[in-house]
Amino acid sequence: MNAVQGAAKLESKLYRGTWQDGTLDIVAGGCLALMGLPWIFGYPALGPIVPALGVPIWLVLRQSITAPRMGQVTFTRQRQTRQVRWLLSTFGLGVAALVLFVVLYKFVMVRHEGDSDLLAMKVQWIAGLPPALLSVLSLCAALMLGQGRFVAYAGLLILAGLVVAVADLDPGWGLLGAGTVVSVIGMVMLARFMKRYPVTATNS
Amino acid sequence: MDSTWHNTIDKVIHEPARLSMLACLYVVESADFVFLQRQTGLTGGNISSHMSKLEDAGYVKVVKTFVGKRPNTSFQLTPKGRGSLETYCGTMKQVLGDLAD
Repeated sequence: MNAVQGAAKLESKLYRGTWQDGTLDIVAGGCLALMGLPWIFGYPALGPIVPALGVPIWLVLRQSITAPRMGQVTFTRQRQTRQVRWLLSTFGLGVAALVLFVVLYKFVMVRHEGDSDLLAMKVQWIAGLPPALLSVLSLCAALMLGQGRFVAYAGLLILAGLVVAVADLDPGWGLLGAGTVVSVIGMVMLARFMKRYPVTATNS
Repeated sequence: MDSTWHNTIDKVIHEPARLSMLACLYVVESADFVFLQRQTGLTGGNISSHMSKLEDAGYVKVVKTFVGKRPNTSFQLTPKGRGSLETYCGTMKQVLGDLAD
């Protein structure tokens, strides 16, 4: 291994280490669960608003819980640029997933309007799409942050989508279930993180 | 092996605690006191004393700010520090390479 590879490996290790506090898991899981709730109560349009609320909450958690324990680091400009690019791509994919779901839903509703049995079957499978489509975002997070557990979350979301489709449930239940699991994992991680890294008295 | 090789090794860098702090700062833009403490496993006192030596040598820039009401000290590798660390790595590689031959 040459010096450049060694430096890149160390930088990557430090970067990955900053994402193991569990706060992102708590907020992402909470957002999923909260996206599911309005769906269950018949207001699915409120769902996409939730992630926008999650970002400031996550920033507050990072600043108040993580920073005093883990310290603060500014990564290289290349890393920051890459991160912004990934975030924009993930946001774009999220919007595309939402649009795809709405278009598919409308398409099926219009196409099979007269055939109620076929319509019910198709809608049942489309209901499984929201959790499954969100798994793409989880995979993006796994690649961007170098966190393998987000691949497992993607699998969990696909599973939630399948359960929703097979059991003929509202998509909200899939999001609520998967989100709760992710949040609980995040809470366990955060508890371990706080135990491992108590707040130090000084930062100067 | 050149018998004077030990004279070419930078003694400020050639100390495990300082080397680990410099390696950490080499791959990031800046890092604060607590972050370095977590990554290196050194105590606060150790970090302070070693950082003073690195600052005196001109290898590290110390930036003191406030985060909210709390003071925050962060460190940045200077171009001189970056160059010296690279030279040190090259020297050590050569020395260890000669030793293996």
